[in-house]
Amino acid sequence: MLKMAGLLFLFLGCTGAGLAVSASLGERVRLLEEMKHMLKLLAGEIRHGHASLPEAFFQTGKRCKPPFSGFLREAARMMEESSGMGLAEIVRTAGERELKASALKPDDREILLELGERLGVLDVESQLGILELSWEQAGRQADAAREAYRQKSRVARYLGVLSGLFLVVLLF
Amino acid sequence: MDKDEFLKIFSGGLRGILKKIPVDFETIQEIRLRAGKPMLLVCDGREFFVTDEGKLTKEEQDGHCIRKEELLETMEYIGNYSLYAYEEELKQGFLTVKGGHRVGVAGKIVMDGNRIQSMKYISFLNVRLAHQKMGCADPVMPYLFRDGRVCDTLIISPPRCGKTTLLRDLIRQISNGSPYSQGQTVGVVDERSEIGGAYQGIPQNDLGIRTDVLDCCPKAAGMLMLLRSMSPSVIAVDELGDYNDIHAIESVMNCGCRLLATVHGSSIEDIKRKPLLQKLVNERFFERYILLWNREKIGQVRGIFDERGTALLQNGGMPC
Repeated sequence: MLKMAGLLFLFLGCTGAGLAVSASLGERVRLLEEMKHMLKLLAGEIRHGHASLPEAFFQTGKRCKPPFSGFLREAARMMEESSGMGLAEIVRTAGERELKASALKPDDREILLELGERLGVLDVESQLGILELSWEQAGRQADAAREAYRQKSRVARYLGVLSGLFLVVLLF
Repeated sequence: MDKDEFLKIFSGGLRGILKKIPVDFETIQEIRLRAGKPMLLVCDGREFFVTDEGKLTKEEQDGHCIRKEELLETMEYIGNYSLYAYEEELKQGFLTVKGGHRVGVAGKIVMDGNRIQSMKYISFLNVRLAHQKMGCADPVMPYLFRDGRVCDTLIISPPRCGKTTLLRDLIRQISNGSPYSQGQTVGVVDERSEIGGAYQGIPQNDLGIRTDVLDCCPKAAGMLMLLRSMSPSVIAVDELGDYNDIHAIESVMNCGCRLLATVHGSSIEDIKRKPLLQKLVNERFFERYILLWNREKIGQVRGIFDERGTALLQNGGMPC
């Protein structure tokens, strides 16, 4: 009886692992789409209000979902504090705090973290150009992530179930 | 003034030096930063160099030499990491930071035909600290009311004699109410952000509880906008100058609104010599003229005159 229970949990665990991998692939697609939305909102704040970066980040953060809302608000807070850090360092620190635990890969996060090195100087048009480039980059990553999800999510789910079954048969 | 908040606009190194200087920041008028030159501080009208240890000295060679990196870092903080958002301000040559302090900037101008497009290689900063002198209008207030209403008043003053400081306190007292009248709605057209020192639209100086401010707006357009939308009883503007201003003043007065204004000059006769203002003086648009000078101290009232030129107060305190 105890053995049956253990095998059941083993099977459920393997199935769950497969489902988790599949969900993570799907979550990455969702986050990249949200990142694109966030970049558009940021561009809008700058284009229409000529908002400074702290203001643009703060206002956009109010209209975004986590983890981007947290990232933007944390970066805005650090900019307002004027603690002596440069913009690149501020964005990278906020990114480490708020984005690391998400389903985004390092390449995905780098799209946002690089903004700290590019934004803030020149004129409004240049800011919008930089954000447009980042938006396109996020779009390419989202397309690749969607393809990966399409190809790999079903495999991950089936592998989870089959590996669970395999282990059950092996141990039975 | 919040000293720690003010010092945030400077680079880390300069912040450390300025924190140590042994003077009250309320007495500092200007801090000048020039690439490759010693840091200068103007305090109580006197100039000092600031050493690396934060001491004040008259010796140029002991002053902390400003590095280009310090200027760049300072500009990053002044511009809130967003110099692009201050394109228009840079074209005017100044930015207003939190606290109402004005930072004049100079560097290389980039032209687009005959138009200033932008400024680059910013190598000179003049940080002018904003100090509000509450109550500086007390000596003149009794003379500016007639039958409970504000008189149309022109403040005439040479440069740096305190006319904007006086105007600011007049606005505040008229807005809040005084022993001479109830509080009235005041509209301010603050073309160069000197009156209110607005930061992100919020005046950093106290202009009173019934005051509305149009920041960085041309005076003529601003006066008409205020008349149309904010129903002011009094409109205040700084430094009248061109034909459009005069035309807008006629509209203001025709609407029954009172006007407080300032102009550069040394006397009423001096103002009459300016073609644009001659008409206003001759047709008695203004009911009161306040003359300022700085013979003994900045903001000293030299005289107050009515529309006919009759002196009501002369030489800093002798009522006539």
